Amino acid sequence: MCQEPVTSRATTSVSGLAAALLWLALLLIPADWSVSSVPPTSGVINIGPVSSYVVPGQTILPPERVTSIAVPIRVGGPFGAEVAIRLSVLHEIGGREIAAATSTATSSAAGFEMVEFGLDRALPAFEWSYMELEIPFETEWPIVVGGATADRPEFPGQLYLRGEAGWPDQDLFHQLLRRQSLAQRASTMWSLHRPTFLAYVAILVAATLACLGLGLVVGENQPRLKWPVALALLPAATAVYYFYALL
Amino acid sequence: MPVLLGAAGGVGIGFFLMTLMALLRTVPVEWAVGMTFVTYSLLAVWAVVVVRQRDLTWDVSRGWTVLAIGLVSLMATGAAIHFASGIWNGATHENLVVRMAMTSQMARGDWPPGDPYAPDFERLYRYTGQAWGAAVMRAGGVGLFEAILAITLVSFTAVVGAIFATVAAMRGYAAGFLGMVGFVTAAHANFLGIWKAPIGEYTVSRGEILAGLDRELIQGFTGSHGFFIVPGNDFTSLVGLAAGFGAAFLAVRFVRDRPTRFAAGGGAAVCLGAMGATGEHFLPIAVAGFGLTVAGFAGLRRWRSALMLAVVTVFGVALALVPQGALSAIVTASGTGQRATFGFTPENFLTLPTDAMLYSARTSPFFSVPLGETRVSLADPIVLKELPWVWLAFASGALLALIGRRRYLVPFIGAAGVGFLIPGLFSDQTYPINIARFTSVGVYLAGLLAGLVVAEMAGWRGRFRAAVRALAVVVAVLAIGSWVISIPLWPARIYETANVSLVEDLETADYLRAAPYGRRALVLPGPTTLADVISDEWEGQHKFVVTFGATSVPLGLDAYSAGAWYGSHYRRAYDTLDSEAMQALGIDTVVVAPRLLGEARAALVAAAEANGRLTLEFTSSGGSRMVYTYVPGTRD
Repeated sequence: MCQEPVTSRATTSVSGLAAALLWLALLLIPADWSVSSVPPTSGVINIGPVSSYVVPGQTILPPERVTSIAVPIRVGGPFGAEVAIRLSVLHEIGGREIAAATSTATSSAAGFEMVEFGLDRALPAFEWSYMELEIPFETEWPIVVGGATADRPEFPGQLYLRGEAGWPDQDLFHQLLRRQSLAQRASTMWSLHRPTFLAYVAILVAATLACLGLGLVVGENQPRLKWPVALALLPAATAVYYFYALL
Repeated sequence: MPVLLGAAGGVGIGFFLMTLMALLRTVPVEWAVGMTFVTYSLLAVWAVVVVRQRDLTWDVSRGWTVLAIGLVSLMATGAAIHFASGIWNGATHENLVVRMAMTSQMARGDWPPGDPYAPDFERLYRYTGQAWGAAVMRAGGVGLFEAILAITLVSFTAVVGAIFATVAAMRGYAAGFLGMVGFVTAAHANFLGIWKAPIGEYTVSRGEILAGLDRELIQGFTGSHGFFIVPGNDFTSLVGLAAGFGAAFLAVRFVRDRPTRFAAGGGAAVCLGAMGATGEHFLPIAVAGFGLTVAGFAGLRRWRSALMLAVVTVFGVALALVPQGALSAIVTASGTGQRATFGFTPENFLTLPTDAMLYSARTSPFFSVPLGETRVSLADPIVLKELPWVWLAFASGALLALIGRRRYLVPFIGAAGVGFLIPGLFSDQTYPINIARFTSVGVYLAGLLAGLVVAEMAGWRGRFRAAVRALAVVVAVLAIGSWVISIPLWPARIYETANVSLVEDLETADYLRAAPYGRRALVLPGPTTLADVISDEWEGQHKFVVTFGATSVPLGLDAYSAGAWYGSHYRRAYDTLDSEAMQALGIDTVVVAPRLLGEARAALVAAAEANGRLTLEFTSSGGSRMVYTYVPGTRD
């Protein structure tokens, strides 16, 4: 008779604590958020071979602050061969450098591999800049970068090779990313994508109610599962989905 | 109380629509709208008073109440997001460029309304749901988006409630709840193949790929989709389904509740008629469900019930002819407009149309599909992969009906089965892929059946209890897995607007709407074909002209309503401002997006402005949109 409430209290406390920890982890652990859309992969074309002489570049217009840029790069040579590539972002073509990053591209069976360059300084929003890839002179493998045609709306800028403008409808395929925690992202979404923010709030409130109800229903037959279901099911499912999608 | 509350929406919608459409036949549109709203407002007040006087109880536990409120709120949120994404974010087009365009014209013009894309003709399609939207706009003075969003949410909630009420009246609350959940959430089991979607190929963010999969998750290669994306596709289908389940609820009361028998029977016929007039393709499926029930009663020698239900069905079908629209036009052999023609094609028996019928290269991001095949057998691997739960639901349902004596399942099995069989027996000879609408209704109804089967198996007390319950879990997971996975992706649909000049498009639409009704516009640059109309090309300005601006764009949308004649004339007008074509089409307005015009077309507009054929009358705040008056008869 006396043990039931103690067990119940313990289950409730553990469930509540687990839920709180999960929500905190979700809110505070930073993740890379894609801030530019990526077009269908079927549209990707080969640009290159590029080299220290044939330097590929692209003008970019970040829709918000950008902390890293990913570019599809294909390295020739045996699988596993690596090339260190530097990405620099200039104020304008031939202008001063405003951010840079170095990353390693690896030859793989998949062909193109998205190589992410974590910038040393964040790029400001709504300011045109120019990025280019610096291939080391001593690289022994042919290197090709991914491009897109048809002047896709996802890429408002233009492709450049050796500092010269390419065809006006061609772009260097790239993805702009921003590292933020969910708490920071929520504030960004509130200012830039309010309908999306409000939709998430509505979904969260409704899902919380549904899980609470489910916990109460389950608790009618299985009292020990009442609070784990009511409190911890939603943050656990959200965490699995969130970290799978963004980490 | 829960049953009464659940049924109220569906029954109310059925009666309201039938009254409105019957009045539209006989009195001027303003009178029809006014009389209907006044009558039903008074009836609603009376219903509230009567319900308060009766001692009705809420006999549902707190847990189930909270669960139901939470889940229905979640579903309604999803419905609103899907609807909004089709209007502002380019996720879908049918609501915006067809249904709401018609609604907008109905709200401004005389009755019957003209086709916005072929204004000399009526468009005999889905009149009833659109007329409701137009009536709300006329009576309440609300905007088009607000009116249709409200109707979408009311109808969605009414569908949910009426399904619950219908099944609860037959089998209890748990079956009603699970049947409703199955109907709303069951979809193709694409989540089984989510790992095959191109995650990580050209993006470093899985979230980016997942966000693009929302609608794809609950639609399939087998030319169909789950119910949940209906609000984004076609709000009139929701309206029709709400009335249809209102009819189903009243039919159950009619058979079971002797004191209210005749009122319930008449009401069921009215709701059935309203459903048929709102969504023509629901009628044969509903008739099949009713017909099977009649046959069942006859088999049980309940002749009186069989006869009375048969009379209700026939009466309901007859009432479907009262509202103007495709069904009444077929029966009266109206010469107004053109209609779809159906062929009997039994050689396709037990097959389903595929998306390859529409897009030859369409494939599935989840499963390997038979490339280029426009039809697949019901036992084809792609059907078994996309819809495994449908087979399980049919098999389990049949076993439960036969061995477990759950006879109430038979009409549900029959109605869902008819949905899957019709595409193998008939074909739409104008637009072949349209026959796949029946597959979609089959999927929704199979979801309802799956919910009922799960409810029965979860409460199974006979032999093999553990195995039966395990099967219930399998059916439930396969049926709703894709919907569950899609929930976090809904808000991605409204992340970015598809229209970069949205504010100026709405300014232009407001200007056009404020002008006297009946303008016909040439949109430069803009669509000239159906494929163009349902695209986001030219910043989508044409959608706002025709829908929010209530202005006709006489390009002849499709094969209906002299589409070829309009299409050829509009093309000439579009390419050269040909005065003969412009006058034949009655074009008096030219809407121009100057920054999107090519050099040749810009020169054409400049020349027409210089020689007085075009007179500028409106420029949007940023100069992205201009409205010209076309002056016929001046020198070319």
